[in-house]
Amino acid sequence: MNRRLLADTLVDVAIGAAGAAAEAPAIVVTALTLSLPIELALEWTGNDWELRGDVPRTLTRTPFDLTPGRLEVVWTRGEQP
Amino acid sequence: MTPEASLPLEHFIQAVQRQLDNAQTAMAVKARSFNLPLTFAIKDITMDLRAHVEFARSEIRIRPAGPSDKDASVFHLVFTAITRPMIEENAIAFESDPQDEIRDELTDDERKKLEWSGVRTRSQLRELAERGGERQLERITGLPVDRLRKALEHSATPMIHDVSPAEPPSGEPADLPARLRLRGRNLMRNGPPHVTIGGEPVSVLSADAQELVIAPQAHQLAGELRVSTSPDLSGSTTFDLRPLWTAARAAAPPEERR
Repeated sequence: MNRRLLADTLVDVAIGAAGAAAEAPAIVVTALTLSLPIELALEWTGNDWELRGDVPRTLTRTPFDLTPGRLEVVWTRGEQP
Repeated sequence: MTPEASLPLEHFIQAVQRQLDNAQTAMAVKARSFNLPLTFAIKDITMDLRAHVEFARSEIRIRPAGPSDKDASVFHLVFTAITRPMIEENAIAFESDPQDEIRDELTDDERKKLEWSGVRTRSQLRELAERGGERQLERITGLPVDRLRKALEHSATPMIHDVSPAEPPSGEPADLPARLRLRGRNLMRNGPPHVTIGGEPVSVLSADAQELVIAPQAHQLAGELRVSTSPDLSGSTTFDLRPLWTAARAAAPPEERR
C-alpha cells in the first residue's frame, strides 16, 4: 500500500478535526494544532521528487519499518475565498 | 525511492513546498464541499526527516534513511507561511540582471562551487576579488586562481549588445551630427572608455557601465566598433547604420548612394 502524499494527509486530518468542531454550535474553532508521528518518503515521479507523508501504518514496529519522524502543523482560520 | 538514491537538499525543500501549496488549495476546496463556513490555512509546520547528508558534485545532497538506518541525521525543519510583501522583500536579494549571471566562463561544477560560497553574479565575483584578493577568493570558493582569473577577466570584458541611433538634442538637425547609443555591459571601468570605429577614435559624449553615447563622423556609421576600458579589456561588434543618415549617404561613394 502506497503512503499518501503529505498534502493529502495534512488536509484529511485537518478537515476531520474542523468538520467535527463545526458540529458543535456553541464553539468556534480558530486554530488547529496537530502533532503526529509521520513516515516521510520521497518518490521520483520521472519529473520531480514527490514527498509522501503518512501516519505509521502499523502500531508495532519491525526492522522493516521506517522510524517515524514527527510532524507538527498549525492551521489558522480564514474566510472562504 | 531506493535507499541508495540521494537528492539535492533544495529539491527536498521544493517537494515540501509543493505539498504545502497543494494542501492549501485542497483545504479551500474541501472546506467548501463540506459546507464549512471557514477555511484554514497552514501557519506553521515542523517536521523531522531522518536522512544521511552527503556533499557530492559540489552540492549538499540528502539520502533519506532506510528502515534499518540507526545512525541517520535528523533534519528538524520548520516552515512558516509568509505574506506576499514578505516574499517580495526577500526576493529582492536574489534578483539579478540576467546579463550579470556567470555562465560561459565557468563549468557547471565550478559555478555550483561559487554559488555555494554565495557568489552568483559577475559583479559579486568582482567585488569579492577586489575586497579580499585572488588568494582569499580561492580559499573561499575552492576554485584554482587561474580559473578565477579567467572568469574575472571574462566578467569584466566590455560587451556590446545593441547599437542604435540616439535622439538628437532638440533644435539640432535630425541627421547631423550623428549620435549613436551603445548598450551592453562593462562599458565603463575607471573612466570613459576608448572607442574606435574602423580603427579611428570616436568622441564619447556620455558613459556608464551599461550605456555609451558616441558621436561618430559621417564616414564612421558602419564598420567595426571597438570599446576598450583598459589596454587588455576590449569588446567589439560590427554594425551598419548608414541608411539612417542622409549625410552618410551623401558622404558615401556614388555607387553606395543608391
